[in-house]
Amino acid sequence: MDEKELVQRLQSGKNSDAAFKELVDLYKERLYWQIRNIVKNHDDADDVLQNTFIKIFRNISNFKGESKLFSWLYRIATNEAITFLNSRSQKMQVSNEELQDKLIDNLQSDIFFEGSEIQLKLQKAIATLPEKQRLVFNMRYFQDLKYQDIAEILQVTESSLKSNYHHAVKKVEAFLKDD
Amino acid sequence: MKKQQTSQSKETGFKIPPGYFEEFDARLSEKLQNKHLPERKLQSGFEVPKNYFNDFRVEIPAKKEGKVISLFSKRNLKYAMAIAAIFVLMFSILPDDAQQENDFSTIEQASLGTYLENNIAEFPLLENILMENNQLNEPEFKNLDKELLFNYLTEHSTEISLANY
Repeated sequence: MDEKELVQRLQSGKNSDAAFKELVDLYKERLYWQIRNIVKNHDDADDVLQNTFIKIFRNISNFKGESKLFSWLYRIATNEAITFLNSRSQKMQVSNEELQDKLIDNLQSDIFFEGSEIQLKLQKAIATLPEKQRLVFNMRYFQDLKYQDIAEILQVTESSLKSNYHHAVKKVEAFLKDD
Repeated sequence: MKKQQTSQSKETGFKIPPGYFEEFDARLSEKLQNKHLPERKLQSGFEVPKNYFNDFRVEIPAKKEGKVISLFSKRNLKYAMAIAAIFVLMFSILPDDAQQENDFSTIEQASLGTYLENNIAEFPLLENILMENNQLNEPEFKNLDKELLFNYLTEHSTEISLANY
């Protein structure tokens, strides 16, 4: 389906419920993985995904089409996931870095994490990255998103992204060597 | 290769486990995988519950009902109190003989407040002044010229004939 047509249907109010269901079906998996890679835990990812779609539903009339619908949705999902983590760290009264450590510790007993030892090590390595590098690494490495798309989602330049990804890969490799 | 190995073993006396070189590549590869980001991309290791995506539904919370504004809200009470204040002001600036003439002093202020609160609709003029488009806001009210107000009320005293009540 044409993205513009879907947006028009969502914004027109006519059959917008059916159009919204189509939007959910179209993007639920991609947005889920974007969120899951940030929050790590399935239940949290589910909550954030719900909130993301509620926000999309309530704000679709504000979508001006200046960016792709895809990147607008990803941006909302990313913001929701980051806001969720910030709120969690405030509630737990820990720093973001400490929260990342806790999330990784929890992975070892998470029934929805069936990673091998190397996958767990990789998650530990990712958790040591600064937030921006962590986002870029997840989006590029696990989701195979193009630099151009990531740049539009995160609203940064492609050259800055490439530099971020390069540094992230070096740090992850260094972590794996030292571990 | 085998010849070299045998020769080397004979020279130094060192021995190697059987099949060491045959398995070496596999073990090196495994070791490298543990030390470097693998060439072939790793999956994240995250799983989802069975049928999660098939069963996924977004539950949009119902919109909140519009705020119900009571007719007897604090806002309206403020207007009633403002009207009461005008009359209190009026009593304070009226000459004694006028007070005696109208016998306003016999009206208890509490009764007056209650009366105005319950019968505000019967004073369309003042009600309109105060209610219509919020024309009279608090700062303006404070700046009212007392003499003008007195003149106004005197001129319209037939419309607001409290003395009859």
